[in-house]
Amino acid sequence: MIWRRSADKNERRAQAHALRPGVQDNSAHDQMRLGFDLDGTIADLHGALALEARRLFPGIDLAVLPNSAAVDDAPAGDTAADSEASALSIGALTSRQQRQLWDAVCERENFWESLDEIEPGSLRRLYQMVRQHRWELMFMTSRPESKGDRAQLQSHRWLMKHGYETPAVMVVHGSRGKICSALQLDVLVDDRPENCLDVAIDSSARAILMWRGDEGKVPGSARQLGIGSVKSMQECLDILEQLDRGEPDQGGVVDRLKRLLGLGTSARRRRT
Amino acid sequence: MTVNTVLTVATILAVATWGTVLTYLLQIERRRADAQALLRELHATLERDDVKRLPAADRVARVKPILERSTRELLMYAAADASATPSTVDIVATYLNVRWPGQLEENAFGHRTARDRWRRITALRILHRLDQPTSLALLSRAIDQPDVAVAEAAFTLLSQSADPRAMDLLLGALTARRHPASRVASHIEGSPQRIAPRLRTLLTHVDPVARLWAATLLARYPNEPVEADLAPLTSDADPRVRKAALQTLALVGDELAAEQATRLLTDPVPYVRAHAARCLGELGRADLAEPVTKLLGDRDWWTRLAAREALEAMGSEVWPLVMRCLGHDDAFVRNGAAEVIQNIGVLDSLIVMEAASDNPGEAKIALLRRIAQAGGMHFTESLVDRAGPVVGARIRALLSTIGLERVEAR
Repeated sequence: MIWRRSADKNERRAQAHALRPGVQDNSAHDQMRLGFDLDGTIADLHGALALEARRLFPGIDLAVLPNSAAVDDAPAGDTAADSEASALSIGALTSRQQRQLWDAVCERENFWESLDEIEPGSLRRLYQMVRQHRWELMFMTSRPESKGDRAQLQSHRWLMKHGYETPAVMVVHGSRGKICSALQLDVLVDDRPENCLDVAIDSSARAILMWRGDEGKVPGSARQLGIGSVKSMQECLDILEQLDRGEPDQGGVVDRLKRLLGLGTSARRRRT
Repeated sequence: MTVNTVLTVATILAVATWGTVLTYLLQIERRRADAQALLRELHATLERDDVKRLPAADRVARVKPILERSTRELLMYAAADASATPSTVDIVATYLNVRWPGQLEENAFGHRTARDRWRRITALRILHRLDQPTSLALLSRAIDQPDVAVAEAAFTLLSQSADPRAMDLLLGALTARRHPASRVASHIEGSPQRIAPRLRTLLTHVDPVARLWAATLLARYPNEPVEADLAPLTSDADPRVRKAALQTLALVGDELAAEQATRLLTDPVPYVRAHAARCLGELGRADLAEPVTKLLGDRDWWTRLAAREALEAMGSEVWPLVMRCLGHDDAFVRNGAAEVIQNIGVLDSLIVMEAASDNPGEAKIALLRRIAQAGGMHFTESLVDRAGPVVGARIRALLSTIGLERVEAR
């Protein structure tokens, strides 16, 4: 059982204070509930987009392509993509190019099933861990629909094909934080910093940022905001696996997760 | 002719007056120099190794020629001097008692004139330093009388004492209210005695001022189990007592303190609300930050300030909660929240995270702009440089969109 209700005062205190300030405790459930983003976290959207982008715009800088699909990434017909805000969006691609790119990939039959796994074998390992530790897990994606089956069904088949035998997957838009709060998730793993920020703001879940880019300032900034940062699925799974090995006096799951992710402890003054 | 005479006489008178005053001043200065020389000689003689080894009677005999040249007041001054060694005090006081028997006690008993008051205070100091049996009674009498200077001297002497009876007198003075309780309390605070159990008994005193100071003084004992005793005072009818209880609970408290402070965040008295917020801040209870954010829009400006400072004291962990306040209907709450985010130092991290996103949302950019506007924060180029080539360029674009000023890194 992850959330032990021990009579020990220190443990109760540690658990209570590990919660996000001002956010309702969603941890009444016994088992850890995980959320995993797909594109950029597990599925290699960047590689698939790169192939298409090379065909459409020879000479394009592939570094500016997104790793994942978001509702704002302007699939076909989204006139908002023409707004000035797109100057901040995916780098050198103009809004028209973005739209062309998305139109092209969405025209492909069951495009979402064609993606590769970023780290082959990681999904199989995740599935084994979920079964072994009796976790609950939900995959989340903001994929736009493509030709063929619904994005949800494509994602479902893709997950099974890569070793996750019984996936639960939802195509969702909007704040990942609110979704995490509604689903009472404990942890969300996502490659998009803005999603991790949403999780921190709108839920009691802990966000883990899958940051495969250069070290730069992003992981440090994430840590300062209480968001963990990992470089790979393997690292993420290693940390999650250690969560269930915690000793009873090491506090709750969130406390242990914070420690494993190297996040700072609360400013709370503890009497000795 | 007449005018010349008047001027001449006036000049002579002026010169004579000036000469008289000058002579008087020079005389005073000479006496002072003589007195200081005498004291130096006295101290030097008594501190000599060969004199130190002598019995008291022999030491008195050795310095008797010096002492006989001194006035009584000069000797009192020497004995009461804070820098005087115990040996000097002993010798001089012994001599004073022998030469003017009973005079010190008489001086310490009461006074009529200003000069008498100096003698009284000095006599009290000497008798206290000698640890005379009559000292406590005389000090008690001194604090029972309305003269502020004498009482202040007596409080000082009592606060230096390790004798429990001295603390009895101080605590008695605190509740008697003959002198300002704050003054008495400051002396109690300076006492070397550990009096937590005695202060605990005062927490239920009928006088709210006594309860107030008992609660305040208990802050000196963070390791004493006083939290449960203080907690009831957070429901005291007197708001000053509630405030004092919160202040001390902030330093010595834990769970119960946090519980009471949370309750008092809605106290009808503004300064109690403010101290409730500060208490939670001092306790670092980021998990209880949400009700504190409501005080960012309090009708009392001091309470709003306290809420901001309390949230800042809770650390950077409160940022998600404070971010939510940026969309509040109340402008005070929005501005307060923006200031807190600036001051807890997470704005640059928010900028970096948002810039690292593929497509920062307009709503988030608006929030960042609001935070930036609250403090006019400057960013150094190093923030951009350290972020790496891809994210760095995005940060530059985002900062420009938000309207933040960039300055050169120092």
